[in-house]
Amino acid sequence: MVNVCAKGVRRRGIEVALTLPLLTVTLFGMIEITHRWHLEKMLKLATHEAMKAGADVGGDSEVAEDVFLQHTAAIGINGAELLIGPAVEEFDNGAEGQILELTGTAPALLNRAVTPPIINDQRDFSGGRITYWRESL
Amino acid sequence: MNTHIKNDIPIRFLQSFGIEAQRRGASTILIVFMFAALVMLAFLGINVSLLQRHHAEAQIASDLAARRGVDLLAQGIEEIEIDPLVRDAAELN
Repeated sequence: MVNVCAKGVRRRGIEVALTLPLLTVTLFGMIEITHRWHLEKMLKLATHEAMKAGADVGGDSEVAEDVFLQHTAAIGINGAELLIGPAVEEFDNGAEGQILELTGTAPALLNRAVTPPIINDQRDFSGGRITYWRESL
Repeated sequence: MNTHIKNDIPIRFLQSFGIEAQRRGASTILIVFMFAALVMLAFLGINVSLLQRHHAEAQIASDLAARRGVDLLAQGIEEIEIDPLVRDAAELN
């Protein structure tokens, strides 16, 4: 009896030891990936709103940045930054039809879902670049 | 010395039928099937998430293209000339 029980316990331990890490890595990895994609989508949305405000008549890079920060704060993205292209001066003083580019980024370290703090991810989330033209009316 | 397990079945009797080997195989098969199901579920979740992301990106691109089209129309540019410009706006985003 003792031998049978001992074998049973040992075997169950091995099964748990094999399955639990796999389950944990799969589950947490899925949560992290989908969280990251959600943040990137939201960053793109905020950049889009910033572009609409910045490219409008009377809009400039400051207006765009304000709108971007308002949106990212409302969504709950920490440390978000707006990259203005091709240059701030061109963005602000460009004529009608001037191509404007905005890219929203946020550091991964400040926006993780379930990644343990021991993983020091220095990369930035990026919502992708929004390209538009300065509006005339 | 104890030679019987709980329900009074002799250990030698069980071993002669290969009970130990059968149980081990069953749990391995269970783990394989459950893990496959879990991986499929994970991929489904990731696919739905990716679909939502592309949906939002398409919406943003079409919105900017529409704004560009309205702006060009207001400038008095002909509809035929506007069409490729609007498509450019959508493709760039």
